Amino acid sequence: MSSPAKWEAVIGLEVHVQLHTQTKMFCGCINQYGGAANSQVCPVCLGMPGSLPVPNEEAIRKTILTGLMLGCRIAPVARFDRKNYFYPDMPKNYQISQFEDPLCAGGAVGLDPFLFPKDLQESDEAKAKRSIRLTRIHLEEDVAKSFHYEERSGIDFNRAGTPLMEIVSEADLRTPGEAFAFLGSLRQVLLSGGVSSADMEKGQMRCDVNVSVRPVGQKEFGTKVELKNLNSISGVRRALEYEIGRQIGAVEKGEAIQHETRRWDDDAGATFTMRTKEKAHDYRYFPEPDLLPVRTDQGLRKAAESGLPELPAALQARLMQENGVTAYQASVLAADRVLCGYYEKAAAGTKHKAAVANWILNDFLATQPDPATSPVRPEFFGELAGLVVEGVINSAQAKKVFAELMANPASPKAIVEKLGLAQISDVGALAAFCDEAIAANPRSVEDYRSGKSNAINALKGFVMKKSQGKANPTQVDEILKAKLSA
Amino acid sequence: MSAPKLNVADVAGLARLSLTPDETTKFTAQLSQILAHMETLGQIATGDVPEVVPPAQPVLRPDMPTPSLSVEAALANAPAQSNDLILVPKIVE
Ligand SMILES: [Zn+2]
Repeated sequence: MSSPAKWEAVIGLEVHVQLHTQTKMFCGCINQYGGAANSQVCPVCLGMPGSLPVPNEEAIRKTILTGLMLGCRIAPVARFDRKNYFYPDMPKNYQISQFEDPLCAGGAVGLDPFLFPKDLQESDEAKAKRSIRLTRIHLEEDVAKSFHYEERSGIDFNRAGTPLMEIVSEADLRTPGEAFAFLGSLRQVLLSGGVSSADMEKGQMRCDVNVSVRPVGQKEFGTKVELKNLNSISGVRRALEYEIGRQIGAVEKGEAIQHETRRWDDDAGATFTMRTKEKAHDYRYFPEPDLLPVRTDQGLRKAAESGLPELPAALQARLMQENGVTAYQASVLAADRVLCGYYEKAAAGTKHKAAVANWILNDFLATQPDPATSPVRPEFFGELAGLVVEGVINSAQAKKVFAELMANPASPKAIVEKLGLAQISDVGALAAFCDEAIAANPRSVEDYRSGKSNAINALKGFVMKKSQGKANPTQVDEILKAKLSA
Repeated sequence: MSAPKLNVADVAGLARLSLTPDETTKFTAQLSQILAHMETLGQIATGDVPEVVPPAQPVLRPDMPTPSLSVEAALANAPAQSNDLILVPKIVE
């Protein structure tokens, strides 16, 4: 039996991110999927002899921006190198990458507690709010897509040469939950900067995992295993849970862990040996002779700085402090900039910013809206929240207004009028209802006066029914109590 | 002259070159000479010499699309093709 306290896992991630650019890394072919096979290619990205690469300024800017957002040191001079290997998806027989002098070094990803798996959000590991150090971020070109047939493979070079950013973490992660939160937190930052859509299920973010186990308290790392074929953030968690269990089981049986690459099979829920690493890859890196070193200190860094967004952590702090939203709501808003923009517009014109957050994040979001194109204007939520707080309508009526707002978007004030919902707050009218209720329910009155305070509910119900749900419940409560204690 | 450690058979393997034993011996001698010659550069004291920073930026490209090849042109040199894909010997990981 494995006892969880005796062993700990050591996890490092290598994350590849497809950058949001119009064109490829070293040529003007468009950077987009879905086109006919081999329709977005040119001599440069096909690796034709005599062609020369010209770096895409925007890809460099976005990589520097990512480094700035994650607190990396930006190299004043960065270089491209050739990584040599033979594989049909890389037509030059080398990939232009960065080895010695990457654009960014150091930095860290802070783990947002709300980006842990739901079942772990209350756990100590989530509350620890650890910061995971990064080793480096570099820029390279992606490879072609291969399709495998019975006897041959077919290659589509549309993806070849598209900009790919690689983010390498230190081996700071200790649990599958932390790896999950790391990827979610990283994705949130990438989205905030408009760097990438970073959706793992669409291949926009790809992740290789290195994992080993060691007895708690031991300094040295165990033999690490590399995991591949991880296609979702939750898949990374599942794969790690399996693999850590497998390694602990093996070590406890006295077996040695092989230094190898294993493939995660999500359907089988297990990892399988792909290849053993008898010999470290020798890519014979050397400086790319076709490209001058890139100086970031001559405008590129400045350009990236000007694109710095409000970072998720800062945005969350501001929303909590200034708008009074909960930590969870702040995290949800920070994760979706379009929704957040919608919310900020809705909250701009009203004092009731926390109430607006409730409407948008509970009710509106449940309708699975597209805030970018929704016909429901964000200001309507400010207005709706105001109507409730100011007592014009009660919360039950507000739900009706909301339903009508979704069905036929219009100003909530107009909807209240149209549906005849406005709450009765006129003291005279309410007092009349209350007198009627007291006269009609002598037993409840007696019960209340003899100390059964719950009995007042029957009277309130009577008033609400008589008023067709329009009576202001707070006022009814006050009036009834005054009359009954008189 | 002491040449750095050199394993020509290894390097040839990485470059997918098949060398005869005679060629391996011959190239080992030649490459050792070249490497030994390069080693002499290491004798120059460069500790105080500042790194040469490139004077100018490489030419960078604005992120604007330019026309790609037609599929026909792109596939014109492919030894085999099917469904607009370039066919290659089966790749197995
Ligand atoms: Zn191209």
